[in-house]
Amino acid sequence: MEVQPQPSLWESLGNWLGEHVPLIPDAWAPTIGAVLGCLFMLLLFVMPLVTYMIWWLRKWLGWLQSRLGPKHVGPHGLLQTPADAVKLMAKEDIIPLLADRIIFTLAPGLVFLAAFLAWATVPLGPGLVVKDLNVGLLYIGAVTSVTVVGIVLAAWSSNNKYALVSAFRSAAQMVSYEVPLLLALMVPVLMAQSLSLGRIIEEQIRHGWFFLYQPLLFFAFFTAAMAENNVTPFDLAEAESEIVAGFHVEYSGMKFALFFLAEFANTALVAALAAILFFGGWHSPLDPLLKPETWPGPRLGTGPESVGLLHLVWGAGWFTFKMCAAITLIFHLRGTLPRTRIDQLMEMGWKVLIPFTLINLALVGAQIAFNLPRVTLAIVNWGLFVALIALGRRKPLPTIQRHRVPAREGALPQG
Amino acid sequence: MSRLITALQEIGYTLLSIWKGVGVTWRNLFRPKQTVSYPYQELVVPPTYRGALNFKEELCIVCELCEKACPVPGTITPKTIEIIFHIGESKKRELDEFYIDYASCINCYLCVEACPVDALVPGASYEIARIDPLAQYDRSRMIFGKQQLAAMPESDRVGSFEHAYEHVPLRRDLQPIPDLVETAGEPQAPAGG
Repeated sequence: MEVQPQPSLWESLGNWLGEHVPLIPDAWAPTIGAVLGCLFMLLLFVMPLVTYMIWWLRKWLGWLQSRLGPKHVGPHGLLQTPADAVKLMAKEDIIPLLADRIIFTLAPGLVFLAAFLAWATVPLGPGLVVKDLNVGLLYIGAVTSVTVVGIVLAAWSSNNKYALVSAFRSAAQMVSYEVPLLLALMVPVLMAQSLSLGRIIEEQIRHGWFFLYQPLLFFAFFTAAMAENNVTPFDLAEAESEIVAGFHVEYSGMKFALFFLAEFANTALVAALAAILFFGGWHSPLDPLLKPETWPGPRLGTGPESVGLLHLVWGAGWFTFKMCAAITLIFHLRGTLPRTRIDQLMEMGWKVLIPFTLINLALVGAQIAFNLPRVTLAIVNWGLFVALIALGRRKPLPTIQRHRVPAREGALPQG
Repeated sequence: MSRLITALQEIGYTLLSIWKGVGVTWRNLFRPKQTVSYPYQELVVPPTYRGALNFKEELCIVCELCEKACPVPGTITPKTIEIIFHIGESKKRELDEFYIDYASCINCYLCVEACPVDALVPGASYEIARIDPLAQYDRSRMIFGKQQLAAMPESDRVGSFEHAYEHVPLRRDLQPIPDLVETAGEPQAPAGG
């Protein structure tokens, strides 16, 4: 299937600069556009997003717990996170005496880099993507897996037993949940016949959001992605009651801030992927009514694939809204659910999510191979969902018999 | 097969439980918040609240019962309450100084029970440091004399149980005593006895 590449705002910007600024050679124009796009994503999108995610998390958790959250620094505490960032930058940077200094310094950078690289291929709106790679999802899966390498390096180099335990947990968690996560990601890929995020969104515009076809898969994806990124209730790697602060226990100052930023950037990426893969990305349910692709104004590119700038802004707004809703859902779950035990975590990964995603992938494959109508997928998935809820209405019998150990005679004072 | 159904049942039960828990926390979002923005708002404390004492000098007959009832040794005095008096011309005791050591007072109110003339009455104030802001730097400044005790807010903000824990804007009319602030550095201690 030959498809026209979507016009990109940053490519157009680079080309425009190449034409109008005499010093730039033509061959450099696309690169300059991509660099501008990367800078925009890093400085004007992800950093402010992460900053205000932290504020929103504290507000939301405060409201959940009948508190007010930050409210003193700036109106409604809006300047709390910038103030915290300034404080972290001003703090003393401590490196433990027996730490491996080079790796100790490089590891936060690696984690930070891995968290931010994936954003290069996330489409914020029609045409508002740095580079819509044709292997976009593969790239995201590959880049986000590097995070755990950074975590293990940080933990190993800081020469601390708690950090090491945390790194083991993080690695085990990552190995267990990378499989169901990627199996879940394969389904939108199969349905859209493309790994490119832009193509996946276009498929959803044509045939409806994938959440309508695969609700259970969405929950499986969400769970696996949360576990993959060490988000509460799966934050065993940072369980402060057991292992202090986990892998970043020895880090302070700006290095700790990098870990913190990376964690929130990963959470935002999970939310963005949920919005793109299951809720149509920048597509809004009002689009069939309002027809934003026909709106007047300056346009990117030419021909049928061109995108109006107003449409771009409208789409970006919808994408941000969906992403923020998913982020809030993650925060809400974080405030609701207690931390899982490691055996519960492994059980859920290997006994529930992997079989489910495998069977689901086989079903989707069968639907495509036998050319069945796509509604069958929706019927099967929604049917399974309803059946699960119907079965779960009765409390299941405990599968593990717990025995009370009888007290020895005279061991306890008889009441 | 039955084990598969049990497993499915458990998954469904988990999903429903999470849904239920999310609902509980969701309802909590819209409840009134318990936080009091303290420097900007203040609690109306319940009537049984044990705050700092109010001392009414004009009622005091210098019987020293409060000092005898006091169960706590002070930080530098034998008792938390310390009374200094002299015999006046009319052969009556006249009060020179009445000290309460708030560094050691436990608000047990045994002195209040002992007082025969209600010169010592329960108070609702919990902002002792506002009387003398330098008390946070010098513990001996937490020994309050007549002057400071007179500056202690009256117990007019004791609410009924219905209105206890209401948030009210803070009264800012309570000012530190100026001449005390000027003589900073001189520890103000009773002369013992």
